[in-house]
Amino acid sequence: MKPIDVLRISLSTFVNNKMRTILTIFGIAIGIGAIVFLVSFGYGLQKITIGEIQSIKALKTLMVTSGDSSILSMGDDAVEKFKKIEGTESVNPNLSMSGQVIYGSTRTDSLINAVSAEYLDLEGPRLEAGEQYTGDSDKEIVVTSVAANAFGLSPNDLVGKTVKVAAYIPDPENEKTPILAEGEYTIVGVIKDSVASYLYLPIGTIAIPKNSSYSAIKVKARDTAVMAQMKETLTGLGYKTTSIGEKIDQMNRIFQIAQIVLLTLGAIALVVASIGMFNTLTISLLERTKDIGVMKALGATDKGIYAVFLSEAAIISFAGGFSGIVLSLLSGNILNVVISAVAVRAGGESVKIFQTPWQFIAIIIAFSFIVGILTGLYPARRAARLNPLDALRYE
Amino acid sequence: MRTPLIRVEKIEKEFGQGETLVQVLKGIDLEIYSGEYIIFFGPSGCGKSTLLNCIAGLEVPTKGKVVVRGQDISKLSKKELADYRNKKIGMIFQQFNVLKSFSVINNVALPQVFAGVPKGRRMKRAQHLLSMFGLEKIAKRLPTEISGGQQQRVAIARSLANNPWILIVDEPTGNLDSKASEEVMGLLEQLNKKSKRTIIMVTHNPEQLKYAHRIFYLKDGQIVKTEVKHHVADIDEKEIGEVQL
Repeated sequence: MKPIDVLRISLSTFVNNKMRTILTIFGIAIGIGAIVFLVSFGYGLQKITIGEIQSIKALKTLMVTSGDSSILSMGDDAVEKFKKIEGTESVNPNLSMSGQVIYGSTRTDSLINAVSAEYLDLEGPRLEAGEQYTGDSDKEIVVTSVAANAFGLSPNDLVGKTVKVAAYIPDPENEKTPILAEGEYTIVGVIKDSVASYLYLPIGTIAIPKNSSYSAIKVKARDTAVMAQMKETLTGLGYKTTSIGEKIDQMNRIFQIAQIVLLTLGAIALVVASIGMFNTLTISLLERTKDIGVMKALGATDKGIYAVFLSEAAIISFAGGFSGIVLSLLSGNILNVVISAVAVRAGGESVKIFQTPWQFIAIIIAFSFIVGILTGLYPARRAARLNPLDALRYE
Repeated sequence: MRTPLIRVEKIEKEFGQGETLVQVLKGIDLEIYSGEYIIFFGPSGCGKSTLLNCIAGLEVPTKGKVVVRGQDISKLSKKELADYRNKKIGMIFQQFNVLKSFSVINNVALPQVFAGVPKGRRMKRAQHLLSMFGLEKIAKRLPTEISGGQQQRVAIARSLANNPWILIVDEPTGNLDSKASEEVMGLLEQLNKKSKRTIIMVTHNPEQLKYAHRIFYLKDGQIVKTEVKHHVADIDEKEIGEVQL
């Protein structure tokens, strides 16, 4: 029997049992679809979370704080000490304080981060409008969209506006009364964040009192290879360090677990679908026992009958796998559009929660095919081994 | 002396084992010559269908051998047996056994599918066979949409797909009314007379005995009587064989 004729005979069975075939294919589609859908969800979440913070610069940075210790210095002496650590490329402190931004008659509270242009660059804020400042002593600031809302301006309109900034600089000599410093600044950039109110201001534009303690210090390494050593040195001094790389590792681990859980759920759906397919093939075999007898009496070989049944299984599983992938991609993309629309309306940004790598699709197609063949092996073998006379007498 | 087309040598067939052992055929010897119309006649359970199935290569005898054109078919492999059923014999059943999911023309073409004949050629052959039997108008219909008599004619057309020289016919009119029965018997007679095909038929209808050249009466797995109605001596040996219908 020619392969094309094997296919023709298999397909003729489907035409005769349209409903049952469609339902079986649908079952497989649900199983495969569930796997693709859930894994795409996990993958998309991972991409969104980690993709945002993955820049090489950020990966080479250690964030140093004093942790719970109150004795450790976080002042200029610490900055100098860090600069001497082997592998250090640069050290940038952040002096955080509370303050206000005043535009016309409106004033809004804001956390003020006095940082160098390099610190700001390492932080890598997502700008909605304008750009970061590049000098450490120009009177320029970067605010968040909260300020734009407060002043009733669009982020784009806010860029270029001159505002008054009132900063309450902590005084190490007198902790109860901070030093009030005021100055006029031009807004050069607006960060996309409609929840938290904070701003970045060049560290050289404010007078930092002697013995001030920084809230955090970013230490940038020459390359990622020396980071472990640097981290050890800093920890040895009593400091607490965190790095994006570590966070990414942790998150990746969490996402891996999440994906295994999601994959398991999908796999259960697929197992159920496979059992359904096995059932369909077995019923189809019983139903056509007599036909198999006739075909054998007319000269069909065992191999030919085997091929017919196996190709039926392959067709069902392939069709199921294919429509499952289409189904999950379709629903994932629809949800992406819907979720993005909702997020944008709520002031967030458009996101792709469902993302499917093409390699995964290829694997799933191959996988559904293999599952189909495995499911079809037993019924096909049973069909091939039927005694033609017994089959002919079967009613 | 003519050499027989089919030689059945002392075949025995047993079913079951131990206490349930039933001996269906108890040493049958017979020879069938080319162009003959043979009937196995007898009551139910006499073993006539089992004998027919042994000749068709569907049943393997417990003892003895079936030699068709010098070849012992009980020694063939499963694949060779399938090929034998496919090309050397045509089978016609009491229950027609046309496949319900195939159209009439595809049913007729089916043996050629198993023979690996390309689609164009086998459809042409099927079309030709259908027109021979006046079935061209129902070629596209499904078996469920045609009468029993038509189904049996489709089955006869199908049995000729690979142009076999032996037709094995098992109670062909058992499920047909008298008019359709006559039609079918007429067709078989023509196939024997005009295209010189050897017909081996099982029946328990005594009215059909008139068609046969020779009748083997069976009872309890043995041939109890052989009746010669006509001789086929007038058939020239050279005419016999692959006569194209």
